[in-house]
Amino acid sequence: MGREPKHVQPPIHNRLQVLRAERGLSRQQLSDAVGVNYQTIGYLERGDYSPSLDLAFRLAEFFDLPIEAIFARTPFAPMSRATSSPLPEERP
Amino acid sequence: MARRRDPTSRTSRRRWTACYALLLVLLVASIVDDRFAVGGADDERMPLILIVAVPVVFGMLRRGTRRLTALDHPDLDERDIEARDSAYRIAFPLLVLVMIAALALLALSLPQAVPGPRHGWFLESQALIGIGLWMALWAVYLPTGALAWREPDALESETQHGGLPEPLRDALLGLALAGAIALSLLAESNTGFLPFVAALTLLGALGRRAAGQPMMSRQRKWRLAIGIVMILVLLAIGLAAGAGGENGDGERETSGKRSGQVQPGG
Repeated sequence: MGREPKHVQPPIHNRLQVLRAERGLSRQQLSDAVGVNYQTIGYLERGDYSPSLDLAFRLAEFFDLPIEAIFARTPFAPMSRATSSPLPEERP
Repeated sequence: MARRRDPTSRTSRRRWTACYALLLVLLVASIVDDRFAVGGADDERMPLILIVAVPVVFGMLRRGTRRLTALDHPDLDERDIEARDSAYRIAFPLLVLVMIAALALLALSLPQAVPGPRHGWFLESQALIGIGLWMALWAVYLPTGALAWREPDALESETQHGGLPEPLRDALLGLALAGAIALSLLAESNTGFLPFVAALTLLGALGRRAAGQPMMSRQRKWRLAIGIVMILVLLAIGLAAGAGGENGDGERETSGKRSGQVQPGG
């Protein structure tokens, strides 16, 4: 048996689409803000492309969130079941 | 930004990638094998339809891949650069295979060297130029082909821009191309060229109509008309010159030059 190739990377999941929708941004607006082509944003959202560390930092800075809130090795739970970032309580 | 009729789905890009490779195979077949050639003299061997179809299909592929393989493209981001570099890495070993094939074809199709009238030895063969050109076409095409084959489907917003549906457009263009090539090869002449140009024009007009764009501006119509007239005049001149050459050189051609055999001179 040969050695496993070192260049095969596991997929990186992200919640870019949710964050973009939440802020009412188009792909073009987000891509302009982080300096990539808008197709790249689409490929990121579809999981066809994993970003470089630099692009991940730029996205995190833009959304003002830690990187691990946007990207993860495991799929994100749906927002309705998410416990890590609960919605703020409604105040009377 | 992708344009209206670019092949935006991976399926469509793969179809045209395969089509281009097939065109190049036919092109080299017309250089080395009489069954795929047209005309009567050495310099008329390649069917005109292939010479026209190669840039048409290549242009579709380049537009479909947003010209990412251009080395000095200023708008490439990190993903584009990675895709481009990967395409070049895939293209390189394939180009080595093409070079080996070209060397084998050269060994088969080159005539014997003949002594020149004053000094030196000469190889008189259009096949030499043709195979060199063929290799250059592969070298230009392979990175674009690799990219077109591997790139994922374009975004939805890119594909929702009217025009003919992609499968229909591909089918019509493919049919026109196949028909024109078959016509040229069966008739052993450039008969298929004009119908192909007409089909291209018609498809362009249909695409514009389906996209709700104006059919054609007056200025564009004039330019197109002048272009068609120029092509027809050039074809007429070429045919007349070919007929004249055939009458004058008929004896020489039958002596074996058509098949690439150069007779040693004295």
